[in-house]
Amino acid sequence: MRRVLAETIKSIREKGLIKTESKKKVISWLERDYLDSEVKAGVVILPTRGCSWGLAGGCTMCGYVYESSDISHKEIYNQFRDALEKLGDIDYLKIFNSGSFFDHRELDPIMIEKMFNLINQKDIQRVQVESRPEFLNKTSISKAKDSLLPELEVGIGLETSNDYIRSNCINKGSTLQDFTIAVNLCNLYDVFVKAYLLIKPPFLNEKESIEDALTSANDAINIGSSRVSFNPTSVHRYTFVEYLWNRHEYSPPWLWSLVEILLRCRNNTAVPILCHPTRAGKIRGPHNCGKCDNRIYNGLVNFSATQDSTYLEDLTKINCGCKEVWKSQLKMEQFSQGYFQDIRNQIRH
Amino acid sequence: MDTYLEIIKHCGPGKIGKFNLNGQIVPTPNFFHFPDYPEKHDIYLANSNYRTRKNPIIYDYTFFEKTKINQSKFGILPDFSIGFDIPRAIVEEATKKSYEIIRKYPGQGVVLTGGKFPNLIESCAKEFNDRPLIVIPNGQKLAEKPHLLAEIIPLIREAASPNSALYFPFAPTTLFPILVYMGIDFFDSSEAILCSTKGKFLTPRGPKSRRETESVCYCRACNGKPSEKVVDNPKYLFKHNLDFIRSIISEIRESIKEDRLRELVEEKSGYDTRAMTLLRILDHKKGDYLERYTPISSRTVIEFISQESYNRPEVRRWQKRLLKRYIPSKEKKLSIILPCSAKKPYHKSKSHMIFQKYIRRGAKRKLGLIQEITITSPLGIVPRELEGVYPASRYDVPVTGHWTRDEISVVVAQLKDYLDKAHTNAFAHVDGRYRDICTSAGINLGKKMILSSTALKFLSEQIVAFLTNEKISYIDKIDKIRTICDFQFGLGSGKYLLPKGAKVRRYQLSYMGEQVAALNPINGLLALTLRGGDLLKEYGKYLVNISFEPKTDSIFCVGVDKAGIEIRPGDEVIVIYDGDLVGVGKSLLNGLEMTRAGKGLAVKLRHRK
Repeated sequence: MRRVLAETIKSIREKGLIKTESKKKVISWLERDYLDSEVKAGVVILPTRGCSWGLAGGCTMCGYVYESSDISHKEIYNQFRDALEKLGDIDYLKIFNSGSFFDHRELDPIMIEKMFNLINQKDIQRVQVESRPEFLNKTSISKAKDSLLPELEVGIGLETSNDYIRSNCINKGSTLQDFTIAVNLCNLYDVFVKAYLLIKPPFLNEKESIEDALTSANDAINIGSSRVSFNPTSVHRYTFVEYLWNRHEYSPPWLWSLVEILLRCRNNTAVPILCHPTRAGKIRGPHNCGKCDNRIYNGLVNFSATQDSTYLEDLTKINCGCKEVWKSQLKMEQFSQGYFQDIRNQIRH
Repeated sequence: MDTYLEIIKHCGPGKIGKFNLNGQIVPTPNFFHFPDYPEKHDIYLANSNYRTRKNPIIYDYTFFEKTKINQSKFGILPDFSIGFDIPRAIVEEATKKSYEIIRKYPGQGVVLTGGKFPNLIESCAKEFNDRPLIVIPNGQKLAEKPHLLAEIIPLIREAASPNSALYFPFAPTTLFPILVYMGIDFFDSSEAILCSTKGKFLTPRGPKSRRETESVCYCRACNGKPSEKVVDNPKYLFKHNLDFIRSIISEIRESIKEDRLRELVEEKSGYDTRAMTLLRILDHKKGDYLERYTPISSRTVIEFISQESYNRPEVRRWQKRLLKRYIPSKEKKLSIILPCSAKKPYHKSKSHMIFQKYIRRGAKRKLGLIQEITITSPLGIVPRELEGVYPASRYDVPVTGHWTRDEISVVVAQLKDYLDKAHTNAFAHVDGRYRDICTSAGINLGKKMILSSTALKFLSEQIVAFLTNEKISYIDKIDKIRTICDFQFGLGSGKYLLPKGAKVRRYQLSYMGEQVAALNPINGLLALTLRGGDLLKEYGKYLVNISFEPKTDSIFCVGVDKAGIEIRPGDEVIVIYDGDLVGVGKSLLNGLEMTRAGKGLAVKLRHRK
């Protein structure tokens, strides 16, 4: 299965890499996030050459490789410096490079050190980077830890703790064991781990994906992740998920499902649970009927920034007509034996 | 554990049956209900953690987590539900993964895999053909693709054992009749449930939204209330929708009992283009499939109500048998073509009584030289000897005087084929469009206004003229019955059942003082006696070989070793054990089914040795 899936993804990927234009600019913005309390977070996106795994085919849902570029490391560094300045006073810096921070092909170690030097000059509590587990080793972690003053946090895309799903539905190319080893290593060097979990990989129905997300969160925390971030699938261009979505074989999750996942996860654990859905309310992202989408999105953002579960409880009180439809989908979809028509389209406002 | 479907009665590939779920018996066609939505029903589909009073069919959807399957309970196995429009290579991989699970649990129900690829689905159905319940995947999407559906369902139905029930999940209610006709046994209440949450009211014309409904329904929930009121109350709406499904299922079952499923299908397909497309494709491409399961006769008048009726398997069968199993007698010198009549059989109608009077007047003692042929739509031509045979004896058709080009070409082709075989002169005593038809077939016409004395006298005169040079002849009554025998059992069989010297007295046929068969006046077919079976056995068709000596009049499928593939439900069959005749009777299934099935009745014996 994995081989055939990988081949299909690869052919879509090759087409996509030709058709899309690469980005040339470092992008940054401010957002609300949570450490011990609500904090001001800065986000910086570095346009590196792109995720090595993604360039070679990669995951079924990921289209971030098309945001890669061929600009020089020096140029990236200069732009990073400007961006950091522009962000001003922040408590929490999140650096994304749509790949692996510790992959030398994406960012060379000398530049990382220079970037860290810039960060060290600011009063920042914590810095987050992202990486696939295979680039997390003693050298890369200890070196980073030594050259950075603020706390270090590494975001690892676990997606699900179910190896079967990760391999056959996501094509992530790593195992739960890889993740576990990476987490243990990080914890050994006092580096925090933020586990990224995918909500609704392809071939899973709404109910399966809720249960899978909850089980995975539980597992990720037990393994030693200090935070969990839920990422509902959105339909990126030139991905396998888009291929399915175009044929009505995939639909992004309901926002109601996110509410359910966060609520149930909140009741199970004390670690911070985050969810910043992209394209929420749009047909390519997690959405409901169109009427209640905005309120739910705001509630999710408020909850993520404050970890105050009253925001979630308020969301459950929203009495939108589409909630019954969502509930009946959870009960009935499993019996449809394959294709299930997305009923949101019929009630969408 | 013993779960299987037993076929009770066919109406095309559609059937009523008994589904035996570990001793709990439910009638089919039927629908599964879900205990999440409490309502009384006779069969449920549920997750294993549900406790209902009746045993549900278990279905746990968790393919991605290791679940234990309880082999002592019957259920549907989880599969890698890959979807419909997926690249073939991926579907094949998912299929492999599903097979691993299915193979581990024999006797459990399966969901077929194979995406949109008929041959993958078929090979899955072949691999697991003995499973009591076979589920058709991606029902919701297939329902939108009549061409594919028409291809896939017959493939699955014939790959699976006749004792396997077919379940079509999430079928739209407007497709229920045609899907049953194609061979589906189970549906579910999903449309009632999903429509209720969407605020849709089910009607025979499909789901309607609040704005669109004006009809008043008298089901338990509506009880005459205005439909908007029902739509506004989710509880009532659900009850109405479920009752609607119940009513359509009971309507289908009743129509099969009275041999009118095809009429129901033609009527209901008028409300849904998908259903009509499906029906037309089936008739066009899967006519042989439909015919194999269509009973040979019925007590019910067959109603050719629509254009689709002209392609009914009964019609096609009639036309095919006329080509293959009918040769006009060599004694005949003149063929008289007559129009059909409303009353059946034709000779009992007023018009045909008058025609026959004038024919006798013209022919006198040469009457035996005349072959009367009736032309009609949609059957085509009906020779006088065969007019008592079903469906010629029991059909009704709206008569408008207008003929479509298709109807005309069918009749013309048949007339030409007849004339080629008959080598007689022909003379048509017909009016209206019939005249054009006969002209196209190259037949001499009589005068118009066929019931006027001028025309009738002309008919007599013409007969005299045609037959002047012929010798006097007598009607051989036995020859007429042989024609029926040939039509029923195959060309040449009449000589086996009724050798030279056989006698006919009213409906009874005898040879050397012993009765060999009786002509059933209702369907015009022959019913054999043991002596008749012995004689006809040598012809080598319509034989059922069994593996035991019958002690009762019921022959069950499990004992059938071999059965002629020409056997259809309702056919007269000869039962053989160890090379010897042991009985004659009526088949309930077709020959292929009774060999493949392991449960249920195959033949009901009339006479047993």
